[in-house]
This record gives sequence, structure tokens and C-alpha cells, in this order.
Amino acid sequence: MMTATGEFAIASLSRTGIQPYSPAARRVARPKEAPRRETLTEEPRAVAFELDFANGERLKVKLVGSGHEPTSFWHALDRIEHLSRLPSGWDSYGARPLSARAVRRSFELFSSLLDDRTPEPNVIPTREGGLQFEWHRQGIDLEVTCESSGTVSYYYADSKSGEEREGVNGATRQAVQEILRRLSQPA
Amino acid sequence: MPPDDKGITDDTELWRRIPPDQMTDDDQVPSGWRPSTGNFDKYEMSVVIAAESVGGLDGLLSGWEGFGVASFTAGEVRQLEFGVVRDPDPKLPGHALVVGNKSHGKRTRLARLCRLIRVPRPIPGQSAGDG
Repeated sequence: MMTATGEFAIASLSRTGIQPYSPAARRVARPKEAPRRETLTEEPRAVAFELDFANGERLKVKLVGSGHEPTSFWHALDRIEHLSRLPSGWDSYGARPLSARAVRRSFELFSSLLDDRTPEPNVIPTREGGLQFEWHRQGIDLEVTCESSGTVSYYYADSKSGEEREGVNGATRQAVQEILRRLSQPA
Repeated sequence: MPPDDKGITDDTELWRRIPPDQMTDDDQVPSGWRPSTGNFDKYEMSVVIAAESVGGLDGLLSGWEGFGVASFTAGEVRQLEFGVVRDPDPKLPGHALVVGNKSHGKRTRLARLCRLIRVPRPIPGQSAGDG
């Protein structure tokens, strides 16, 4: 079994007006089969858990944040936990299981993608073992893909202006943040 | 141009299974919910010719509980500059391939134009549009 360990800072997610994370309440609400997350006693703003992937990989995760993360952050975590259990061929057309590397890259991007001011993304598995974060609102399409190779790419299209562009790796974070700022504005 | 079997007429209806985990919100479609572009990215994309599918939708979905089915015509995918060719499979009568380089823009257009004739079962915690 391959095991990777990652610590991902999410402190920049902190905003006012967000309900604090309640570990006790969350544990009660979680399904029995879901991996258990623990708030570390020595670091109350960190959450540690392990993801066991259907392909045999294991990822030890420590997320360090403010304790005031937006709801979208916890929804994305729930989705990733669910998707990590998808078996080979989950799409009926031979798709690969989700890879730990794609999830690592996703966590590295969380502070850019998940903000209480931005709309919640759809978190979608790709057939190559990657993860795709999608927004389709107000005439804007934004898809950010973390591939199993570790490559991160984005696709953006604006139906009003006709603008369409794509980017890979280094070009992604800044471009995506700029697009998300636009998506965050009222329609 | 990719290979294209003109014996498959433009009005031929094609079906493709859609896994519940690959649905996304989209405020540009009436239901507010559609297949993700990731369903349509393969150069050779597997479909079945609806009229030749044994057992209809239930036959196509046998063993794939909770999956949906997207429908589009051969003419619609040809407008996206894809070809349609038969790909005989004894286990799946009517099997065919939609062939062509599926750029992100074309994938999005196909994801929006297709019709969900069987809606996937929503995944807990995931939006299911208005429907």
C-alpha cells in the first residue's frame, strides 16, 4: 500500500459570518462508514484524517485552518471521501479509481478554490483518476482539473463575451482566482 | 475529419450511460443539472444505437443501478464535427463510437444539448438541480 502524507494550510479561508466548525456535532452527523476525522488536541485549528483509496493508496491528511471554514469546504471533503472509494470501472466505461496524487493537488488548491464568498463548486471525478471542480453560472464556465499525474489545468468560457481560454499548472491559480472573483459578484 | 459511417442517418438516436457521480449544476440548462463534460472527453466515445439496444434503457443499464442515460442524435454530434461508426460488440448490440477530438468547448456543447432520458440517482450531498 502506498502512503502519502500531506499538510495543507487552509487558513486563508477564514472569513466572518461563517458558522464555526463543530467537531463533536460533525462526528455525530457522519455516516458510520465514513473515515473519522479528529481535531488535534495540540492544534485546535487542524483536522487530521486518512483517506483509503480504492486503488490501494492511502493519504494521511492534516488540514490546518481557522476553524471557520465555509460550508463548501466541508461539502468538498465529504465528496472527496465518497469519490475515493469509487472502484475501477466506476463509470461503466473503464474509468480509473481516484488517485491520491490528484487529491493532494486538490488540497493544495483548496484555499484558492473554496472561499465563503465564491459559489460552491461541483466536485466531479474524471475517468483518468483525477478530480474536477466545476462552476457553470451567469454565463461563465470554469473547470479546474487536478489530474492523477499531478497536473492542474483550467478551462474558462464566458458566453457573453465569447472569451474562451485554458491553462496548465503555473498559469492556473492566479487565473482561477480572478475568475472566481467575478463569479462571486451578484448576478 | 474523423471516420464517419453515413449509413447511420442523422436522425439516429444514440444513448450513453451517465454515472451519478458525474453530474454537475449548470444554470444554462432548464433542469439546472446536466452531465459533466468528463462524460464526453474520449476520442472514441462509446454509445449504443437506441433502436438496436436489446431491452431498451433497462437493458443498457442492467448492472448499473442509479445510472442515467444521455440521448443525442448522430446529426447533433456531426454538427460538432465528430463522426459516428459502428463498433460491433456481441455483449452490447448496436454498439457504436462517436469519434473525434473533443475539445473542451465541444464537450460542453454536447453536455448541454444532450437529453437526459433517464435521470441518474442523485448522490447524497450533491445537488440535483431543479429536478
